[in-house]
Amino acid sequence: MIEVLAVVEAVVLAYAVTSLVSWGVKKLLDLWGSRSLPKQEQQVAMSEADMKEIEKSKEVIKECFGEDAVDTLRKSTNLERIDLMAKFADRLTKEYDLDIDVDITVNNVQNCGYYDWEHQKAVFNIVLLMVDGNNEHFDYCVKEVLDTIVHELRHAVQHKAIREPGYWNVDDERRMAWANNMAPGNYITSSSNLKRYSQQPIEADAAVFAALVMEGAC
Amino acid sequence: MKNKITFREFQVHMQGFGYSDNEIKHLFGAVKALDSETRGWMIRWFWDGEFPTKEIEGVTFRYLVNDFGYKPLNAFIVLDWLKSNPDAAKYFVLLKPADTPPGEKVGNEMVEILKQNGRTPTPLYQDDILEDIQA
Repeated sequence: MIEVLAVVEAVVLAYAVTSLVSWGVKKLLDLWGSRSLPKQEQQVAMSEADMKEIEKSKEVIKECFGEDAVDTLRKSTNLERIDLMAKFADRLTKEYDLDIDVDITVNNVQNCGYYDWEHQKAVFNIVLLMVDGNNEHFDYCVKEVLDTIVHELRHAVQHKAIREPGYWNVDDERRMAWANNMAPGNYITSSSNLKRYSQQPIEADAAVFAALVMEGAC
Repeated sequence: MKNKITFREFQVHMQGFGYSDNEIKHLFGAVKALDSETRGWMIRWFWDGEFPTKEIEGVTFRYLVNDFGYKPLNAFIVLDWLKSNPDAAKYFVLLKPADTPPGEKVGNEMVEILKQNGRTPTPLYQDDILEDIQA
């Protein structure tokens, strides 16, 4: 069994060595470095309930990864990283009181994950964590994966809040703005217009929520 | 070279890129909102297939389309965004978000929820399709 796992790990690692190049971001990271959401883009107001959960989410990150998530993951094996991320996603799902399916995968789909609104399922692709811990952009890999988990679970929170008034104390104006964004023809995909994608209500809200959770987290 | 694009010309050309009717309307408005330099590049690309070569924050149109996999209009929008707000543009480019629209079933459910709350769906943007894209 140990041998089988070692082989799996070796194959995953062999793939991972090139994954930042195949991910298409190596040149951009070399040029721009890892980025945080700029303050001037954090214009979406967070409620008291949001701020409370943002603080709790930061605590969950510490519980799962210790004081320095990048360092913890850098020192972990690929299999340990997969396990840590599965536990983190599960822990946050419970913290947010979500009844959704969560899948952790390692594949080459060129994004870190998504929330499937129809099937109420979050899928997280942690291939970026298969990169060698000594990679110069390992901090970007950790940040992207953690940010995506928080961001996509925020969509699940939005979904539940739209359906269940009272959940998370989201006011009606906001619930309706989110519902309107999801009405036919109103959602803007990142592949058609990245700028408008980032500014629409549900994406701007999820981006700010995740950015505030990630602030100081790694 | 023509220096303007009507909505009908834009629509016919963009249908070849697999955009929905709603996306084409959004994009027509978005192109008109580009700065004049980027809009000029877009018009030259539209009529002559010419790729702009200027580097913005170290990247070119060709890089965004050929190496990064962006559709041409998204590449123009991102180049324009890199000029006007480089920090925000870089953050979202590096984020590589997934493309997961809500789908018809969820969309219809949202319309029902809006109705139950005395509302009707309203477009996020009021894109004018009557006025041409001009250089």
